[in-house]
Amino acid sequence: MVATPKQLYHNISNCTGVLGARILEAYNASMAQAMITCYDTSLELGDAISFNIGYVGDNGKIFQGFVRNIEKNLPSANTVVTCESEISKAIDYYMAADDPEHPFERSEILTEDLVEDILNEAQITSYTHNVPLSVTWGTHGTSVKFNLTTAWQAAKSIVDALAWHLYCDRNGQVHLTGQHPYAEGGEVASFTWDDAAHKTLMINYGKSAEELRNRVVVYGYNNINASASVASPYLPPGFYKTAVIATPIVTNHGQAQQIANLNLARFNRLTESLGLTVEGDYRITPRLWATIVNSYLVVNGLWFIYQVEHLFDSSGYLCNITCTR
Amino acid sequence: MASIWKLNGVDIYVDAYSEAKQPQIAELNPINSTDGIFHWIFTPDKTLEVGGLVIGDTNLILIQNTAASVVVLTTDLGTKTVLVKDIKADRQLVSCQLIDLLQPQTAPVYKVTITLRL
Repeated sequence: MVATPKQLYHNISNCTGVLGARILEAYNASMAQAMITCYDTSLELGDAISFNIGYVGDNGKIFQGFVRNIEKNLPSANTVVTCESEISKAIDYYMAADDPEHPFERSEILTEDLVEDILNEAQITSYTHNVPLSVTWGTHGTSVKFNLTTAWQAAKSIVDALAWHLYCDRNGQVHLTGQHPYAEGGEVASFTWDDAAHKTLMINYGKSAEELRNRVVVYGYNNINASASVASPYLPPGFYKTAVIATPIVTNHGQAQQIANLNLARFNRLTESLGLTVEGDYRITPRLWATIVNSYLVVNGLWFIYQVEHLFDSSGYLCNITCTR
Repeated sequence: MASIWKLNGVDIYVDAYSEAKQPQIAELNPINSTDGIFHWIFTPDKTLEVGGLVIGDTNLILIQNTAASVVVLTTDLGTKTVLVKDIKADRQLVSCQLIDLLQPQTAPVYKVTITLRL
């Protein structure tokens, strides 16, 4: 039986003759990005923007952020408005103390509070955290200092050391979590893309040990160092691929070893990735889980949604998704 | 028998007319599916195609000058405001013309096909 066409919907304001929109969100991206193609716009650089896409009767918020670039083109007679999410303020904010002898500095501070203080420097105040353990920085009489770096790089250096995750949601709130792009138990699928439901327009699968690291070495402040390693069934016996974390903000051996262990758990795994295209759904966003079943590729199971590209234009509304496990 | 219509006041002896309404619908075909998924993008205004004869170079040039303009099409059923999108003209090699008696018999005869949008 033939299906009734779904009418595409958007509520992008201050843009006339909207021809399409492309929204890219990824687990490992510093921010979400939206590109709106239209005939003309009254938006200016720095303007706040928020919009929904989807279908008439089934649409929702897909992006919130600021206008970063406006480009006008002829003879195509269109305007491309590029927008970035709230966290772009942290990328743009360069931490440069008026007095280089007194840079941003903290001691005896928990990770989530340190990250919050750094984000506040960039005027990002909507923030929440859900971290798996307490890690204190600037201990034993030392302090954590940041200068001549962006707020984003400063926050990421702390977050990445612990193999944690910092991201901005579609409402402009920044989250600090311990979430990893692989299953650790208790995950529930938000979507199902399988043969029976006929939802998949394209699918491909790949498996690689290229990013696998089964040895992690941490170099910290004043010769502090630690390492962690384990044999991998995907590498030749006795062979170790090493990742190095070198940062002066690691100020004691216990912390260095904790960081080595956390990052070994994160890096010592095979990369399985799945690329698929499905009918557009504004609800699809990274950090959710999907059950994917495909009898040809034999990739049945729970997958982590790593990246989503929402394409909304005259070709319809599609989602290009990258999943990992 | 042709109808005499006017495009921006210029006579066209119309012998062919068609209308088209072409909604833009994207079709998605999932793997292993038997039914397509359809996304309706938009439905533009009607496209009209008018075919007929234009007599004389002067009238042909007046017609051609309406390209990309919004003009009035006067038909036997009333008037419409249209955008002239495309004009094609083929000279008809005839020995004389008796269609438009206000013009010389040796006036050139052109078969025109004009695409209009409402």
